Amino acid sequence: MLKYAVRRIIYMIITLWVIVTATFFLMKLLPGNPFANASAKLPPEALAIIIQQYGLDQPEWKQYLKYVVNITQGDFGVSYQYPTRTVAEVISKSFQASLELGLESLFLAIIVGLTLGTVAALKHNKLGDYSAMFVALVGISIPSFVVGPLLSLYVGVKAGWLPPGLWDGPEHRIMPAIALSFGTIAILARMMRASMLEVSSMDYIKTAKSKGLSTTAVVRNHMVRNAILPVVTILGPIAVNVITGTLVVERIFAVPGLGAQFVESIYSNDYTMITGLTLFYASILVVVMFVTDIVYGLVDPRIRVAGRR
Amino acid sequence: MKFKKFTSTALVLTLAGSLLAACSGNNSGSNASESAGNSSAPASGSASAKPTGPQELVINYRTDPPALDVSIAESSSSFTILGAISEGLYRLDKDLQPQPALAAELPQISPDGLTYTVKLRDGITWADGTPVTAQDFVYSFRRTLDPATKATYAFMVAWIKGGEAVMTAKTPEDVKKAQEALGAKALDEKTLEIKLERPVAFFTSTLAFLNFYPQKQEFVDKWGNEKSGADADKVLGAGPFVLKTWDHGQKLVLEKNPKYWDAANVKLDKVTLNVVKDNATGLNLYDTGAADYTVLDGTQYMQLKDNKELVRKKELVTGYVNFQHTKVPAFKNVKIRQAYTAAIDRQGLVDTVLQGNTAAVGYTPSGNLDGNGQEFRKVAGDLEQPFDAAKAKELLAQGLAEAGLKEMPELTIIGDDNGTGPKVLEFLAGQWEQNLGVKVKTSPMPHANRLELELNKNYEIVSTLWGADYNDPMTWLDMYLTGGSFNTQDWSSAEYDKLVKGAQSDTNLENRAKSLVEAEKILMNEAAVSPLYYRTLNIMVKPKVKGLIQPPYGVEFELKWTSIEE
Repeated sequence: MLKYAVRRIIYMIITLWVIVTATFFLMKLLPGNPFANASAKLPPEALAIIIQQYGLDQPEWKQYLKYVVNITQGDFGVSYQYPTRTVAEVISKSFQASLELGLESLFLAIIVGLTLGTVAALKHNKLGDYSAMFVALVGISIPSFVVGPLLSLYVGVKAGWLPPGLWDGPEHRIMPAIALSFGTIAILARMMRASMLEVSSMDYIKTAKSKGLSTTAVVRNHMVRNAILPVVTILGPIAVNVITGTLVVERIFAVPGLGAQFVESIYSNDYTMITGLTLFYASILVVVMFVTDIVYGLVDPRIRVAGRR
Repeated sequence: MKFKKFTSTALVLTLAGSLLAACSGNNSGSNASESAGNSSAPASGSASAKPTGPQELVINYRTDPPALDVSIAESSSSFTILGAISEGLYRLDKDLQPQPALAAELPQISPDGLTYTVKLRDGITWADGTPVTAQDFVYSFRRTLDPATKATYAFMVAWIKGGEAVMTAKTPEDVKKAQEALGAKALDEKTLEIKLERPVAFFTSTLAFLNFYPQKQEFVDKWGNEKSGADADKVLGAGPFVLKTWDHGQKLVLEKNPKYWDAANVKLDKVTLNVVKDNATGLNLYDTGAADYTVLDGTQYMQLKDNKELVRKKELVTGYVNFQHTKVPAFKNVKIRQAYTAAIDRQGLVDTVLQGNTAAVGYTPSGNLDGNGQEFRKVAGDLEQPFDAAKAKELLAQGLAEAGLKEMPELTIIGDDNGTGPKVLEFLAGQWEQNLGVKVKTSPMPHANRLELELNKNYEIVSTLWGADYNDPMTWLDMYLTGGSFNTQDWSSAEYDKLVKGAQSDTNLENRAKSLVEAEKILMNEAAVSPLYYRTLNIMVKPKVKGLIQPPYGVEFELKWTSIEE
């Protein structure tokens, strides 16, 4: 197990290095410079001096080496868009909101999604199944950029139940979390249903039933418990997806999250922010995948055995 | 057992979620309850009798200011906030006239228009209570020009004698030498003298602009170039408000500055600026009463154009088309350019695509002053080729014959790919095809991409924008001097150069204004550039908000004289 973990960690570092390198050089292909707009009014010599101050007059390989050395020391540089803030500061500030929103929506999605999936499987091919799957279908086919504005307009403005945007108190958390969880609910519900159906035809379920266990006990102790395993594997990537911020939902509800930073950094050629964010996203994904694998090994004995071999 | 594990995981998740909610709730908790308590009267009573109700304003702000540092700020979102928390020698009133602010009176100007001597007002202090001195202004200009500050919006400060020498100095020693030679001096604690490189007719108004605000050296040094202006506690001004909270990407809270010299005339106690980037969300918040001010997009404007709360702000921004002469030699021919301009139904453009904007009749937008106390457009009149499809066709035929060409090659027009950008390109291509029978392909692209191609003159036709940096025709007309960095179409006219350069050093304002009108006549007669529209910003403002000035350039709004009357 330990050997496996060490090997995985080395792979992780290599993956991240490849990602940083690719991003760095791809980014340099972007047209323009980070100060294109106002700076074009400066005398050219003055602009040249500013470019020099940022080290952007150096050959690209030199800039790259410097950047890699800096990130190994935890220095991601200063943002060009926000010249008084470091990339690390911007990310950690924006990530707070995205993380919170993501966890809230994930929690909601797990509860609702797994319940829907379980109900659908238990009422297989009956009304319950159809209605649960209809809800899931709606969730998967209506994108958040439709759900979000509809919620904001009808629940926020017309009904006036919840604020249509902003990020101050708990009341501001509810609608964005719902909007963000829609798609995840659908994915989890469908997966849980499929998994439950598969489990329900297993011999051990028949055995349990024939032993005279109550339906509740069979479902709770034997079906859900086994059916949830495949769902756990997908939870990792889903979690990363929802916590790293979403441009659409955050924009619609004016959440000060990470989603917009990525898009804006590219539009404004904010080199340090682009690489910093890419590295941040990649690290979260890589780490979560690693943790998922380890957890899966712990949860499922069969994997544990295979890992030992 | 496994199910228990699941429930406990779920529990942990819930707990983590609520903990986070609790944490961030705490950060903003007090503010939330304050803004929710709009209906209850605030403790601090306003001195004046007129305003009624709590003097609190909530604004949907479209961009988080990149940096609130006088030297580093380069966009309107920063200028607006800095204008509320600090101040220059002058402040522009609702008629855009400079009123003495940190200065006691209007400047004494030497007869050659080169030396400005300004007496500072007595008793002016920074928000921390220390006095503002003439030296604070000198320090500010020196710092902005120092290449180490990396100020990208410093070209106006470089008008001060010796300014460009500081900007382009190579070593720290050279910078220091050039800074000491700079034509800005504190004659004493209260008297500032500024010497210019050449006369600038509108310089008094320019002294109201952010670039010429003072800075307190001790305070800036404490944070250094890296952190000055980064957070609420790293900003120091001498203006009507102080920055109380700056929650990056989320909101800014301004409160009245009791130490401000004119505090008696500042009515607002508190201004909350929530960062709301989406116009639809902004309008939703406005409709629920969670905002008093929100900016509309074109579609929203069409729905609300008869609403009484709508405010239409004509900005000093012109959208126009440039034709590149070197890549497309046919555009060296005047008649061909005139044909391409006359073939565009500009009124049709603003009626169908750019609803809410104004069709252009010249390059300098309406509302822009002429440097001699009048509005440039009113003095100059309509100078652009009017829309006339038949005449356009005729001009094209003549132009092609003159240039020895059979027909125009198929060209490509580039422009921005956001908002209405692509639709404008489609409209133009349609007009040229329909009215001239020429093919033009459209190529929308990201802003940075378009700007780079434009500045590198690597385009055939470009649809672009220009906004005034200062309220004078020069901000529009000096761009087309031969060899200017924004003269990307490679147009050149000796007569035009003579007129504009003459105006640059002319101290007779009447003559100067006349020269500039003549210059624009040449620009328009030759169709050197093809202006399309003047941009209008459509804003919803609650009727209870009074005295909110919305200048057409520089800052988005001016809060000093605003009050709430319910």
